[in-house]
Amino acid sequence: MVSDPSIILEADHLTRRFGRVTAVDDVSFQIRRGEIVGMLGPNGAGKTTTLRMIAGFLCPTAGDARIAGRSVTDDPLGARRRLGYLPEHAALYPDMRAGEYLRFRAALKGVPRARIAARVDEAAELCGVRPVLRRLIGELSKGYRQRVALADALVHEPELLVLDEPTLGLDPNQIRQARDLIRSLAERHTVLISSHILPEIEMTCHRVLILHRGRLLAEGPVPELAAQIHRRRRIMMQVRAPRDELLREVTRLAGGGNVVVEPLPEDWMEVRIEARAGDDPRPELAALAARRGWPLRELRREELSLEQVFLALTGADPRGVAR
Amino acid sequence: MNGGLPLLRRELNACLLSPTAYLVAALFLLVAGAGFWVAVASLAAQPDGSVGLVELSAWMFLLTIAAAAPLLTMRLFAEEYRSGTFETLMTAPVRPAAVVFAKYAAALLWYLAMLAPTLLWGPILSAVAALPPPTDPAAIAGAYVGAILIGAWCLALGLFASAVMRSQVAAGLLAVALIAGWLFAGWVPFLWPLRHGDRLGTWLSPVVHLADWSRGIFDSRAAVVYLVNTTLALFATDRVLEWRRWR
Repeated sequence: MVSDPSIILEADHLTRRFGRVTAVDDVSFQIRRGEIVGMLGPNGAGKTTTLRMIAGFLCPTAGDARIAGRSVTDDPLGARRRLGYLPEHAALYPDMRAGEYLRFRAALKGVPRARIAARVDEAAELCGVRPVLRRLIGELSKGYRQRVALADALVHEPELLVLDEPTLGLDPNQIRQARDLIRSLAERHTVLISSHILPEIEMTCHRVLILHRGRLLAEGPVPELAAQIHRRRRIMMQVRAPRDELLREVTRLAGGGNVVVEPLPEDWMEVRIEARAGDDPRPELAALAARRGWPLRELRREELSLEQVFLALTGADPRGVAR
Repeated sequence: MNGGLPLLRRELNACLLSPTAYLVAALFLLVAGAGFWVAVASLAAQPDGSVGLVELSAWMFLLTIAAAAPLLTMRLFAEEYRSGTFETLMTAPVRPAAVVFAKYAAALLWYLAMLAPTLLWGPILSAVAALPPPTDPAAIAGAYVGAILIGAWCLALGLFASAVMRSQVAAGLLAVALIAGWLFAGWVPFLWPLRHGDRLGTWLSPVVHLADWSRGIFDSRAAVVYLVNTTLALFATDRVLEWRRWR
């Protein structure tokens, strides 16, 4: 099949069943060269199974995936040569030194012998593992091991990078570093990255695929999807004020959005506002509290959980979406 | 084979760094050496009493290899499954056959390295005991060919068991069961009266094969059986790896 050369990855009705369970159900999408695409979904949505089929670790029950035009079922080696894959729990050989491991993996992936040293050096530099190349992998911190695994995924200059939950199990500092690293990779590579954390995908990706219960629920550019998700944003405020007066003032500021005021202990009031698209009354709310001398202890926009994202996207009960 | 050489180098390094491999080699040499000592001592006491001695030595060797082969092979795939490196390995652009080849070749090379010191036993014996070393070249060559063929077959069974089982211990137990099954299959026709039972037994029994070879009688039919069986076991291992993509 002759495919569009600008398309680096084409998933074509990918389906995977384990016994009677359908883990991935008829998933199709395309990724163009230079894109950074996020695959978002809660645990058990079928992200890892989809990525494993793309990486050739699992065979699809039906459908196919093509990497730079090479089918993962008909030309698995050709497809894998063009792919750099970081599995969810990137496991390395603890008895090898980091540099030795990267040279081994480069040779395994067919990097010509004369180029191995240069490629290992470049990948190590990019992933910041140069200082630990001579150390045993078993002695490295989890963050460093993750970077060595990422350097491994890059070492043969793949056309497509597939990263499965690359920040899973890292501490916040390591997560920030990993995110910066992935963003810098994106300048030179096409990347497909999976995550169950919405802000992570929002921060790094151009486009997002949302998977739920094995199905592709939605796909689109991140800003569009974010706008869709944040169309109905909820503002939460805790303030000490007389209830009726508070309700009247806030309703005026909310511009027609639904307002609920509930008393809390010690005269505190909790205000919840369903603001309309594009509306953010937080500065006005803060100014109101200051003007009236009402003590304000909390004012925030509620971040949507993934489940709420699904609600926002489908307008349905997320548990009823897939089937 | 694509990727075969780097994989083989990696497997050999892993073997050289594994304490188990050295322990197995030491125990193997100790037991085989003791067997050799017993054989020499009983021949010295009764120079014409060699009837049955060759069979006894063959049994000693077979039981030693039946214990050594599972210990050498049980970790080869089971450890990759346990640690998760199997996924990294199988998503590299290499065929499962290359992985099987590399792991098998490394185990076989270690086994040959374990056998090598026994070549010194003849010269050591003549130096220590002023006895003439065993000089029948056909018998010596036959014994080594037999040890290599049977060892190669047992290692292939062990590798297969390691590919099937997710835990090292289970892989080791399965390998022991497979090897024991094969060892005792040679007895069945002798025990179970059939019309041509003893002839069938002679064809199946590794003890008969090994005893014949170490007397210098080289029956190529038995050699072909071991080579074919080994190839089949390796092919089955390759299929197990492929099956894991579909399971």
